[in-house]
Amino acid sequence: MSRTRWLLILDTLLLVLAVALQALRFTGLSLHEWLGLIIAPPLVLHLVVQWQWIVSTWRRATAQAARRARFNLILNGVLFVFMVVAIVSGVLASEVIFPRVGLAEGRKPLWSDLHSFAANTLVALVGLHLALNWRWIASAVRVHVIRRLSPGASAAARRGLTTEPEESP
Amino acid sequence: MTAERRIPGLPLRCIWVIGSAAIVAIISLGLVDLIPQRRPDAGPGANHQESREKQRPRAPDLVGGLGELSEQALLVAGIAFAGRTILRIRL
Repeated sequence: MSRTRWLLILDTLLLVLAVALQALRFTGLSLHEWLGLIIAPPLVLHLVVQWQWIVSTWRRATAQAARRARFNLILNGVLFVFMVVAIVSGVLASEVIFPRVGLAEGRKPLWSDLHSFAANTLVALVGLHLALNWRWIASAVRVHVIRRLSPGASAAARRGLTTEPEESP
Repeated sequence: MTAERRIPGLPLRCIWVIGSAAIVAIISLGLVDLIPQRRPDAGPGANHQESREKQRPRAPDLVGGLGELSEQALLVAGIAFAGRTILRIRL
């Protein structure tokens, strides 16, 4: 499996989990809490796999004309912080999986409020993250989903017409 | 092929990512700890808090929740589309 295809599957899984986590009524509290824990390993994997991009963007962001790279780096940093805060506050405000994680009862509403705030902000941040990486997503979907599903896809692949999208951001 | 051969420097990258997450978690724990504790049965928000906890759906509602799910998906897609348009102009 190509790297891009593998990344596309991982990122789609993350997006589906992120959206499902916002729909508490759909999942119910128990599944919501489990999904909140399940999202952590793919999130770490997403960052580990994109490490080269993080390092190169960090270097580029220090250059003067790299406005987009700087914005992208800041957005991703904020997204990471909010993701961690949402997971941690979710664990501490948990009612089903970790009903008592050694917290004073009075603290739970505070963590619950923080969890709601982080989760609501994450919707906007995930949307912006998608917006910044739109070109890569569109290109990867075109190559790995649309062309594969179209009737002449296998013939084109045999002739070597499928091109991998540029390095993922 | 091992994971280490597929992704060079895998252990170090994991340490960086998990370490950064741990630092963020510790800072948020510390900051929340600074906020004075409110007695659960006192203050103007006490009843509100109680009713909000009652509102939290424990069992999944697949039919009713489908609307919420599509609403959230549309919201993310909308922000992505609007963000893409704005960022294309500004960046």
